[in-house]
Amino acid sequence: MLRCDLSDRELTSRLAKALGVELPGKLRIVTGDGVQVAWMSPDELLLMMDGDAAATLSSLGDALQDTNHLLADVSAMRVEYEITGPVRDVLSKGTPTDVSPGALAVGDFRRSRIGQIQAAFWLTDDSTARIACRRSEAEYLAKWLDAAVSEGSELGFHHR
Amino acid sequence: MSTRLAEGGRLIRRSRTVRFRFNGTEMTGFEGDTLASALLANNRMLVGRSFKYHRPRGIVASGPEEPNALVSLMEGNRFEPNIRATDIELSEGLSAESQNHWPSLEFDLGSVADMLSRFLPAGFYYKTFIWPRRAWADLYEPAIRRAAGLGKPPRERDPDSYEHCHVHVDFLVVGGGVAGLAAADRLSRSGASVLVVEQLARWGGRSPNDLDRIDGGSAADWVEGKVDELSQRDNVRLLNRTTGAGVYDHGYAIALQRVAGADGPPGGVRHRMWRIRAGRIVLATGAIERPVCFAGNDVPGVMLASAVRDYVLDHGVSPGDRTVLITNNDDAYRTAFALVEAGLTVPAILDVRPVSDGPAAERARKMGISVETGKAIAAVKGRARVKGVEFCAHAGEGAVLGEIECDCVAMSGGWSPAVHLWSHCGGRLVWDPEIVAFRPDGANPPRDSNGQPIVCPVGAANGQLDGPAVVKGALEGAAGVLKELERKNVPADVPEVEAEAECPVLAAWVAPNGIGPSGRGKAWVDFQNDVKVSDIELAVQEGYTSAEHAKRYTTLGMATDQGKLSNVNGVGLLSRTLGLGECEAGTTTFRPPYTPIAFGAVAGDAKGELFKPVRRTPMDEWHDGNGAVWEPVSDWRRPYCYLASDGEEIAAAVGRESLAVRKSVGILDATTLGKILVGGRDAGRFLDMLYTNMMSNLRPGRCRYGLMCNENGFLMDDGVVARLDEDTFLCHTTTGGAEHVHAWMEEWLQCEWWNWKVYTANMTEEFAQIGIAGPNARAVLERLSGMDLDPETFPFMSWAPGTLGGFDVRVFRISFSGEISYEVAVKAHEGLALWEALLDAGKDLGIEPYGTEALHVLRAEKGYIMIGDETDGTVTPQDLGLDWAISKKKKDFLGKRAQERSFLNHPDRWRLVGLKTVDSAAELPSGSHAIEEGTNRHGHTKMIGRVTSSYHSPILNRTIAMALVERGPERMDEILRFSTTHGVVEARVTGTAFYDSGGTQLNA
Repeated sequence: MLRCDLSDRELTSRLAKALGVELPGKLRIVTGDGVQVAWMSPDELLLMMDGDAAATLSSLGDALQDTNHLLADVSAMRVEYEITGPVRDVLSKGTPTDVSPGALAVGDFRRSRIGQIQAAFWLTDDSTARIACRRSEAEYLAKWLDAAVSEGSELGFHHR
Repeated sequence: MSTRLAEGGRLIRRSRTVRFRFNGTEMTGFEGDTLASALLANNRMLVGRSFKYHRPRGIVASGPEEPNALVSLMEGNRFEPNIRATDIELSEGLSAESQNHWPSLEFDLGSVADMLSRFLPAGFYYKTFIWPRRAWADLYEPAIRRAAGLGKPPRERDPDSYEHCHVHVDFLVVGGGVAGLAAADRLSRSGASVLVVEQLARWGGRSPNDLDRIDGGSAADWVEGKVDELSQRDNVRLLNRTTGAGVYDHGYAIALQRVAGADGPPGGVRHRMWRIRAGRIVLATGAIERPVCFAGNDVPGVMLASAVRDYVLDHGVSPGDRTVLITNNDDAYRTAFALVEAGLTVPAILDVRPVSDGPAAERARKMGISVETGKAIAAVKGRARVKGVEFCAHAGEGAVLGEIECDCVAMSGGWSPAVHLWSHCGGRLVWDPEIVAFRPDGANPPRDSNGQPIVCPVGAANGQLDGPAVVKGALEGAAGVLKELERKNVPADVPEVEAEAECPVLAAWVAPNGIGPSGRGKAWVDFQNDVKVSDIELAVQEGYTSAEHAKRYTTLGMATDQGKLSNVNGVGLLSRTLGLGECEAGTTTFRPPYTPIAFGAVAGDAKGELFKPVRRTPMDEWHDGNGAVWEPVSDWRRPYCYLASDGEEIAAAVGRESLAVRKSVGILDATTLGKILVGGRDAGRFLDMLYTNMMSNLRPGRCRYGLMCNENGFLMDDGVVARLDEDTFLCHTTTGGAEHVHAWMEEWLQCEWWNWKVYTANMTEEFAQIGIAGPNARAVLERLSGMDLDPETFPFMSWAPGTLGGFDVRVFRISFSGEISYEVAVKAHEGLALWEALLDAGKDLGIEPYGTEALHVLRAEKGYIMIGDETDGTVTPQDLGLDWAISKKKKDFLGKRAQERSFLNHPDRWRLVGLKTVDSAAELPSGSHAIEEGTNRHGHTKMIGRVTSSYHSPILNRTIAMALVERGPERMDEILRFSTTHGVVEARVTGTAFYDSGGTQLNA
């Protein structure tokens, strides 16, 4: 997790260089080489790195030198689920966010809620979604998903 | 009698017989029947008893506006009360029971209330059961509840599931009649997304029965074609069996979809609540026919004219062989035509209008029906079933002119646009004398935050009551909305609707117009609530002259039907009685939902395992497998204690755990404590403002206990702050305070100190945290090896990063028990492994996992406060004797100014002391009040304090407690008396540190 001033152009270009990918715009997520960067808030990014993140973190540290920021390893904090199928319909049952194709495309990133818990979600393709929630609420989300996809409860709204 | 006709019924399939039960009697109907139509086909006109007088009541309507035919559906765990028989689609094996009667529908003892009805006027309950007040709970209320009430609550857990879903659309069209379909057609041609909801199973609304022809064919064919066309458009979604139930701010609406009927598979989704955010809501909710208020209009067999023709045309059911029609408009003549064409008899049309010579009357006369103009009904003969009517001149008081034998009366008092959803969010209404009804006031729609209208009414809902105008109005409405929203308006052919011209409707709030006293007491305005014409007059006499007051006094328009049939008649009568202009008294407030919504649907998936999310630590499963007795702590569940064996008592377990900590070592899952990272150049300055004591001078590697107050000076949270490095602090909060404290920090940073160089992060979930406490705590950690824990180099209130038994950890030497104690933080996913490694390492030392109750006992023995026990939002740190943790040097901190106010410095404030009960074994429950002789200025027993925490201390073998007491610290050694549920308990005032007040254990 990185908190810093994302309106500072000079900083963001240094970060982009260090991460090897353009930073995401508002409500977006971008994928680079072994790293995904999600826009969490106007001053927060979430960096998701494959495998050994040490090199990326070290070049990130250089880019952030003398800049007001907070960089923290939050890799144990959340649990991520991947769902495939009529994912927009499933998400519709839990989040008040607009998940229609015109409002949620691949590359969009949302922090909202699913059922009664806070969650972030994004699509990796039109029928695959990833949902991240707090570790402590992973069991709730699993049970919620089970209920939302139970037989006979198909919504048929976004996916006919 | 009512019966099935030999032919006809466009909605039923006669080849498919459906068996069902009503009040235990086996009956049959056809696929496509409603329960109401099937009951009529079986000659069951009597379906319930009225709410107050228990009068026999029959089916009045054919749709969701039905006030009388409320039944309980199914049995056992699928029992559902108060469902309208007119809304229930008949399915094989369905069972229904009538309501509001005892012992049986046919013989009801409560109907004695009817004979006494003149002693049960409006406001009866308010007037009668006031005195003696005592009798309410034991006598009046139970008796009233048995006699009155609608339906019974289900007793068993509902096996079905319910869910919500959220959708965003450009347009929501409520109502799938011709207006709704025409509007949806036009709106969707723009490419916008359109959701159409229709409350019934079928599309087309009243058009198949009420419109002559559309585009040269039948209305039913047009509807079928249009639905087919719309359902093929990608941007259109059509939902039938879905009631538009409420309209709220910003174009938010809810709709209830009945996914499965009574025959749905158990466990499957029964109802789905659609939560819709719409760019604009188009209301095509149609209109509802009004009854006519004449004497005996509630006798079973008196029905709405539209319902009579619906049963004939839709279900091939005759409500009666001989039907007298009473009307004030031309539309109702269709009922007479339908009946005669079905081979039934219409002895007379009683038209209250002095003249009726339009095309409808002409056609009736040609068919040989006697049209009696200027006539009304003086009385209905029969009690459980119509046997005939006595008719009279409408202009007079009701002198009987003659009698007509009949077994059904079809009535029509005109049509009221269904404006409910328009009004839910503030849309105004205007009285339209031309249609004798309220209709939406286009100049005052419900508006969004930008002042834009959120609802557009079309068709009959907009007061366009004749066929051609309905469709034309819908298309114009749609075009207007598209223009306003600057969307493409793609013109298409305008459907051509053929209809005969109609003569004007006549306002007739009672019939006859000069109805006499005996008639008024038998002319029902509200069937569901037993409100008569005389009740409204009484309300006016007694001064309830506003519509809202009269409603509450008479109960007009209350209960499950919310006055769908009665409201306008009620207001018409009220205005007339007050001598006001037509309906000038105005309507009462329309509130969602439009028709009742089951609690299950409101709750959605929030039941059973999903009732509430429970936060679980990484060690949760271990606790569960090792005898944990769970306690909810904010949203988490934490072990209260662990039962070592099946037989162990909870109190014994708590004692065992706390003694293990005092005598050897205990292990605690402290994961739930909040952990907020605060970093940046100004982090120290920021924490100096947040905490009452100084944090900026804390050295890296050291910890400090801190108090956090709100701006009113009251203690809000506490915890240990560790300085990680020059610019970074880790703030521990209480379990329940983590989210709140984090938000509190962000509020100050974002709103007040936005230019300070500080960022925060809630790291609570990142780490599992394990407390190890007791004389052998250090030994256990040392056995895992990897860190130097020598007290010389690693003293109390310090922390260090390192490796313990191969785990990367942070070790904090802090204590909430007064023993040597460490808290070890590890990455959450390693929490369980470290927990087990520590247990293993301490096995021969008798290490015991301990829960929150032992934690409480241990902290209370030391006099440590607990946020939420010693504090309640009105307690300052000074009240708790925590002055030592309040900086005198700092210029400012949150709460400082407030703490300087005279009230917070008053010497009489309740302040914290310890208590030892005089009888060491006496129980002194938390919350007990300290009482003094005499009374306060209100004449109440004088209270001078209350117990905030109380425990049995196993190590001291006595009851210990803490209390907030007026001038508490000045009362050392005084004996106070506490009022408890088991009598007065005496306790001596002491200091708060009960055990090891010198701290030798802690610093060992």
